[in-house]
Amino acid sequence: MNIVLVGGRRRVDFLAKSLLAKGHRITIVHDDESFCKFLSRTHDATVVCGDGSKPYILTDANIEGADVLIALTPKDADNLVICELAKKVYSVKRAFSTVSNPRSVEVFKKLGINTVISATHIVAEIIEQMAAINEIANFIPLEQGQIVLMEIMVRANSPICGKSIADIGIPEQAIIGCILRGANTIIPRGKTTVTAEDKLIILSPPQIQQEIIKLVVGRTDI
Amino acid sequence: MKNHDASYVLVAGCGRLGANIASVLSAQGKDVVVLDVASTAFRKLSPDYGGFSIEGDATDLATLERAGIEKAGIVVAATNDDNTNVMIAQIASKIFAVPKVISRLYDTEKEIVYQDYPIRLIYPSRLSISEFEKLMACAETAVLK
Repeated sequence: MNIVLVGGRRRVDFLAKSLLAKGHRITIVHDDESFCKFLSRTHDATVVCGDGSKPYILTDANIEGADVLIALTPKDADNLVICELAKKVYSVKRAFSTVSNPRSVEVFKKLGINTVISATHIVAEIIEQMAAINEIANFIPLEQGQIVLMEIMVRANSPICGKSIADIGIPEQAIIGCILRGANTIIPRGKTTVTAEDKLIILSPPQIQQEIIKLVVGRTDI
Repeated sequence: MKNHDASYVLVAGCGRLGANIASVLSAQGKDVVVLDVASTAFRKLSPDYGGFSIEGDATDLATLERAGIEKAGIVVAATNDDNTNVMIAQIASKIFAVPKVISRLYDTEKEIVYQDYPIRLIYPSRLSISEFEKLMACAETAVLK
């Protein structure tokens, strides 16, 4: 894919490296000349020096041919304009933006930029979940939280401990994708038995998350 | 949806343009709130300015709500940064349905992000050019005399 990255310092450096390693073609736009020199020395990417919220700079970055644009500047207003230009003028298929102010997530969505990432938002969500339930070892919201991936520990006192997958009665919209047992990973079948200290990787919509936690842990709060 | 009061004006950015607009509207008897990230900017308001001034980021929803954007009849985006003005004007128009939104825009190339929005624009560069043309025409007639 052709990917255009606009702004950002350590994040653009890191993203460029990881995207290039996966074989994508990268163009980076940044307004700091010395940082641009550093980027072009370290990465096999096209680097354009300038303000990415200006249409002629985006044209220079060959944005018409881009599949994805990622706006990483520290100012939310700049990111908004960059994404709007990408979508309205250059019809880029997907425009992602990070925001500094978590309240900007709502603003961007209402203004038609749906793929917004706020680090504070994500961290807050994860902490909220992990703090609430000790057994949740990991929690990842996917597709703007439409679906969540949970890693739940099964204790000896869990209501499902010793039962087979078929007998647990897991809700239809959810699935146990994998069981981590010590060093082994098991893809569960109906007759697989859940034992103590298993970690279940469960995929479900957030609406039934509480139901699943109750099923596995036996309660929904500490 | 709350009622928008036509005489309640919110001015974002207290530079020369914002401060003057706020002062003029306040003198006309409107309820004016002016926002700026720096409290020192409020010195530019005229001494008899009778409105409110709030220090804060006008692209932040909480700040705009504190300034009473729900009941504003007019919002003016007059900060010195185009992108900030775009964000403020779009928030006012789309999220709070403010009936009259006016934004300053230096870079005419960015006009396109305002399409589909009922936002009125002030272009300082175009205004200067038309004024320049007027002055040139005056100069020519003066030479002819």
